[in-house]
Amino acid sequence: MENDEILKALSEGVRNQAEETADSIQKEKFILAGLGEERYAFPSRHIREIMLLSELYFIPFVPPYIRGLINRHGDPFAVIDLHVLCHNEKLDGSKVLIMNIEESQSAFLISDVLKIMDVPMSSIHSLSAAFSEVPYFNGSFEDGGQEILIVNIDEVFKRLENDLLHA
Amino acid sequence: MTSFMPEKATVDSLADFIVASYADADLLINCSEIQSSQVFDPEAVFSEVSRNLLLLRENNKLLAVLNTDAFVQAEFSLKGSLGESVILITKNLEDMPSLSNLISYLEGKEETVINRDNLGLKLPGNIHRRELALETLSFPPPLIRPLLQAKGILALRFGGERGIGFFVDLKKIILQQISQILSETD
Repeated sequence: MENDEILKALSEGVRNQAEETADSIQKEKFILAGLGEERYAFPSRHIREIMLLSELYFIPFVPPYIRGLINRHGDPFAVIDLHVLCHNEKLDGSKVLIMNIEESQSAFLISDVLKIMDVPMSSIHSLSAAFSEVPYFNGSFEDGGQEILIVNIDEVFKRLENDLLHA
Repeated sequence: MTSFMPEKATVDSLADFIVASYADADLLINCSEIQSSQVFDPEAVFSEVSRNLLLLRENNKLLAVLNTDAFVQAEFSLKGSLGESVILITKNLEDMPSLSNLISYLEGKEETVINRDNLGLKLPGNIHRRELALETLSFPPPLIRPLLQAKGILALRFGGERGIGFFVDLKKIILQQISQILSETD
């Protein structure tokens, strides 16, 4: 084998390896959750825990998409209902995703966790026209032929902070 | 210097609270803000100034009584208080100029002397006194804490008859009521 061929093989191998490495780094883990008939992806880096919803306690003054408080080991967590934000309808949820966000003590109401999956960044695309005007999602990917919307946690919290400021 | 604010009271101490139960939650009032209580007697009503303010006969003076029950039901969206009512007589309200304004307004209107040292609060008759460990109280979640505190909810407590109790800032609630009443009289 000529030097050129060796170098070419090396460079292709290195490139393939590099692509593989980049691909493994550029994946994001999502928790795919059912909210009624719909499925949404929550970035797992924001989720601390999945909890069964035992009791939802009333809290006054908050916007309607804060459905109440849960008692997590004696600490109150505010439960956010994405279904109210998106469809103005209350979700009959049975679980909550406890958020891993400093100083929030909040959780999202869901029906169930469907699966936890790694999604290559290359498979995440911008929203189709049908969803592009909804601020609570910032991308989507396909799973089983269905477009799964990725929840934009920051945007939900921005909305919440704004609403609380003007409450 | 960094300050550290614990999320939960770590002191192993007890405090006395007056607990008023509604359908969805209990209201917890610090007993140290209350001088006494009495069963509400409709016969003692001197006049009903507005739906949120009564004057009760009390010896040779009149006592202003805020309908805190109605206020809490409307503003806190708390449901239900059936049966008799009680009047909690508050204390330590000397540093409340708006109360003084309210009393002056009432004295001008009714041409009579009104008790300036105390204020009555009408609450549901199911109230009871309870000693609670402070460590069972928690601050509201940080996201909603400023809003709740501005409205008069200082802390929360899981447990009790309704599953959740709101420890309220009584002075803030009184101020909101007085401000509402005075704005209605303008």
